[in-house]
Amino acid sequence: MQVANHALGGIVNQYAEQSSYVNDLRILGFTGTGLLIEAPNSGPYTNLSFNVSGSDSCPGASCPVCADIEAQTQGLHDVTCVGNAATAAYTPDDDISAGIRVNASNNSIEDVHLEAWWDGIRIGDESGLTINNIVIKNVEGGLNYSPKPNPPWSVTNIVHICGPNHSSLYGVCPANGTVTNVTILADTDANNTGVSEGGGVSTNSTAVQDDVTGTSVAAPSSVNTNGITVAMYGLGGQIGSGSGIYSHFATTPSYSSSGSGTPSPSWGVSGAPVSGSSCNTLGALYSYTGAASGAESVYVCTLVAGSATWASIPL
Amino acid sequence: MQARCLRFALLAVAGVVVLLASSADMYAQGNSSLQEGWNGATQSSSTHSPSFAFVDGVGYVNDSRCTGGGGCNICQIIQYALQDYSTNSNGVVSNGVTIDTRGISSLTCTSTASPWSFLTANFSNIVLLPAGTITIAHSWTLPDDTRLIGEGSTSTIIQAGFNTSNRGIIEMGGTVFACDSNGNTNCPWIAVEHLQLNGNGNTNVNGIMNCCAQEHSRVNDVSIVGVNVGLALTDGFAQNSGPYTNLSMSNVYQCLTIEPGGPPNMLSVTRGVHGLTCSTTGAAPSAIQIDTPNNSLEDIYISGGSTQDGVLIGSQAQAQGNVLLNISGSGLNNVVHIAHSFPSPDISILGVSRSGGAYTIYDELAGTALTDTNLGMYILGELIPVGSGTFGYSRFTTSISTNAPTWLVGGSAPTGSCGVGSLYSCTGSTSACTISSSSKQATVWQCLGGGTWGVIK
Repeated sequence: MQVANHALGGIVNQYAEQSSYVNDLRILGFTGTGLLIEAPNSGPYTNLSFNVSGSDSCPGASCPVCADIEAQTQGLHDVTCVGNAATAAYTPDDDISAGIRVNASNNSIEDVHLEAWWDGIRIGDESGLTINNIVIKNVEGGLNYSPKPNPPWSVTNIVHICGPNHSSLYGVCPANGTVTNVTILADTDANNTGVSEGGGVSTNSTAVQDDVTGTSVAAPSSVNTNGITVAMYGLGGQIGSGSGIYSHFATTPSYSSSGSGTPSPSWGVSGAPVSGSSCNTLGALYSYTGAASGAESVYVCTLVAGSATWASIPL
Repeated sequence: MQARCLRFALLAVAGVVVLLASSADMYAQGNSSLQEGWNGATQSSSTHSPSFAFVDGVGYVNDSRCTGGGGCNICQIIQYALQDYSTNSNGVVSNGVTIDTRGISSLTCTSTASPWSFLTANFSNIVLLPAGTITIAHSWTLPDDTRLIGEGSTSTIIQAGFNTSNRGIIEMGGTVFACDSNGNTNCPWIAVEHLQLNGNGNTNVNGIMNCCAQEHSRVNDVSIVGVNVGLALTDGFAQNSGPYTNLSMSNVYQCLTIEPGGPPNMLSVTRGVHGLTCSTTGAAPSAIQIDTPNNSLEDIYISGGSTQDGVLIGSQAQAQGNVLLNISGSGLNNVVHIAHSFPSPDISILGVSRSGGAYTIYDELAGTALTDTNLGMYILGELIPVGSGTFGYSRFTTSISTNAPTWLVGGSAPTGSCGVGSLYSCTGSTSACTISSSSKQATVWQCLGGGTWGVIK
């Protein structure tokens, strides 16, 4: 589908519900929304590719979007979503583009390739909404194939979960709803090339930017070429109301990207002893499978004399 | 009632007129001497629509270009129809053609060239294949924008009449085609559906090879029998292809290989393989071999040899970021084997079962071998920072094998042997969470060295 009038999108589904689907479609040259889904229980939406208009800028909120999911669906599967130089850039307080927006509960997004977006998949960027139960599987982005600009139009956040604990480094959602229970399996930021932020500051990119907990799954800033993958990232629910305490788990080391954020501790396993060695995420666990008979085997990353250190439990 | 009948009659006459006009338009679009095929539609204006032609292959059976008597076979029919409808009389490349060969009965091909190899320009084409066994003497190498559709995976059978190594009965894209404007072998929009590929005793040949078909290229509802590799993705130009769905393979050396190819076109990502029943001869090291990142494998059953891996990850190149869901194996050595040859962390595995064999998951990277008959979750993450280096891997599993630490939950104090490094949360009352013999009470326990439970808190 070649969109002749760039102000138009591709497909709008406001009313087609159960047993309504889209399959094997290419949507080209749009500056609006390639696929807007507002009808509940529709889908699946499969085998889709999107290429936005290559030269258009997108000031303010006018950036194109490959797919905007505003209702529960039977999923968005097998998608390539390619932006342009404008959608890959970020201007604070002006625009922050997203390839795929998810603003409704109970959706699955699977097998996705992303190029040239600030946020590849963004969850919960409208205020007043409550979004639960989003499953994302096998998503990858960060490298450009067509065209091949130099420097590349990167993807800064492969998945961006909107919330109050945002990062100035990785961008701020235009608004945020209440997002819980997001499960992400196999999420890859294929490169970690420095991205020019609004002020010209070179930053790196993330596989997951979680503004609910203030967690960034990002390659260390000293690593500029290699990307990062997270096998599993789980954001659960909040304990009580307003506690800021969430169930969340990551299998890749993560970092706090905001002042009130909490990195997601991981659980490591090895036959090598770690007692007394330094660590980087307080609260992380380590199972020492080589422990001597009757000796403690579980270690925690905790502060010892002011430094994050692996210590046995009981301490 | 009479007025309604009259309207129907007028409409019928008008329909015939339109149909006749359409027929004439078709002849004008293609070779004017031809009498085969029909246009799907034309515009009513004076300008001919660049419509998608629909060609009945039966009209080619007695084509004079097929010499030697006996008429044309199915390969010749496809070839000549493609050639005739590749351009119009002005030499403009066709907007597309559907070739219906379902009425063809001459199904043995002797040509040592693919029917598509004679094209000078690629264009959208759909070939509908008949029920029956089609024997081909050379790979069918499909250019971009080609759809090959049979009548079903038990009805339409394409069998190999050749036994060439490193060739496929069907090849998705190929080096003979420059499928994009840069002259690359990037060939999108190739689909193969509803048919069977049979090696016919030619065990050197592969079923489907995809070197070069990317976006919108897929295989669906295909059965593959008696070949070397059932489905081989061999090069970086196959990235973003798939999904490969509803596949059945039997008596094959390997069912699936996702290979990195050579630089600079390393394969990095596909849309995955979803739905595969795989039965091998048991001779290969693995039934499924994954050597590229970012693939999803779902709903897969594998039966093979007792020395064979079901899914082997990272043995030839790095393959991080793969996700496996619902994998079951029968008679295999390991259902899933994560090799350490090319360290490939970030592997997500949900739902693995084993019938016979040694291990459900054999993870050389993390040094773990799990024997659970059924396993809900095994996640291999990243290296853990320890001091100035890294030790071990972040890992999470629901395994109850004592070979791996896990997190157990119960209402009473833990007893019995355990996996060193495991955690146990006792959610019962104080008395219930107390070991009576030792008076040890706690809410959280750890599995100490030697495999006995000790109190944390």
